[in-house]
Amino acid sequence: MTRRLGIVITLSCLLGLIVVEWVGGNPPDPFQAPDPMAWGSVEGASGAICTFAPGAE
Amino acid sequence: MIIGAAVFGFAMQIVLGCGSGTLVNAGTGNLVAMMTLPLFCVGSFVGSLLVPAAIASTPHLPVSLPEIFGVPGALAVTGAGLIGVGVLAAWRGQGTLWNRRLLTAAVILAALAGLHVLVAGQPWGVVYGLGLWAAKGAVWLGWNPELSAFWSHPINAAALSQSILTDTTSLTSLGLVGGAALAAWRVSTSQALVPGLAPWIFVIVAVAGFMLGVSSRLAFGCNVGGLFSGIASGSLHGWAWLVAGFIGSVYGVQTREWLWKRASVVEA
Repeated sequence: MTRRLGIVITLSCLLGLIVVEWVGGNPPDPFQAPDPMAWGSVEGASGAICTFAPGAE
Repeated sequence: MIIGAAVFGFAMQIVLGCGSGTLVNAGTGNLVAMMTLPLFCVGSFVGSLLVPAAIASTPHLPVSLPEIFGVPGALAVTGAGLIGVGVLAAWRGQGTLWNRRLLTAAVILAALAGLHVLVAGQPWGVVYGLGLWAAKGAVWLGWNPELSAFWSHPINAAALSQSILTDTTSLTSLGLVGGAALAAWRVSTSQALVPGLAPWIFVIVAVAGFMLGVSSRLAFGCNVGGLFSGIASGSLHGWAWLVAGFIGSVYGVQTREWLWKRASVVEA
């Protein structure tokens, strides 16, 4: 067994995650998606970022 | 936040990868990272449940350098700080400071991080997406996100209700794995999937992965979202992250040497 198998397993799991969510009734909605190009503006950001901490704003 | 950063620094040395590092390693078919990643996701979700209580129990004072010094002043202070880190590394470090390959990679990485801000409007980060994936799994299992102060916040509730394909941090994480897989695909057949390590090390790696997830949420991000993007955005917490994460890493490296040496010996 080589790491090629590991790559295939990892990609399959992530692909499975996307497919399960999509088929489970949550396909991507282009009308709710963030701007395709925010041009560095926070207005185009989703706000869902790693440093987001409710209560510390 | 400081304790979280120190724990993250410790754990990322044990698994030989931070948030982005674990994603990249998993993308290259590294079994240790493949064991780490699922627990990392679960830990990030558990950490998100603990964040509100952690914030309420400890004083958090947001300090923005641009608000204090203005943007030019904040850039000067940040630049001076980074030069200080470089001088310290040159003075105390044992390796060569001017490594052409690493410098080239660093410049490319910095350009891509800048491009990320340009495209997404927010700095590079990955672990939020990992916690989001686990939270979606928890909802599927019957968990009510309205019971969580973190996930009932409008921003997080929106992320939870939408596809991960419209979440910036999730897309960044998926892109890292895909890019790493692409880069490693050709040479992957010449490397063994199962490394010569004792099985017990994978249990430790899984626990460390969980610690990575929890601590990354409590530290307001990993060493990329919290440290690098924190410093780059002029937030003082990035510098606090650097000091705490470095201290944790020092102990993590020592522990890793001890653990991996024994894991290799048992196998032999």
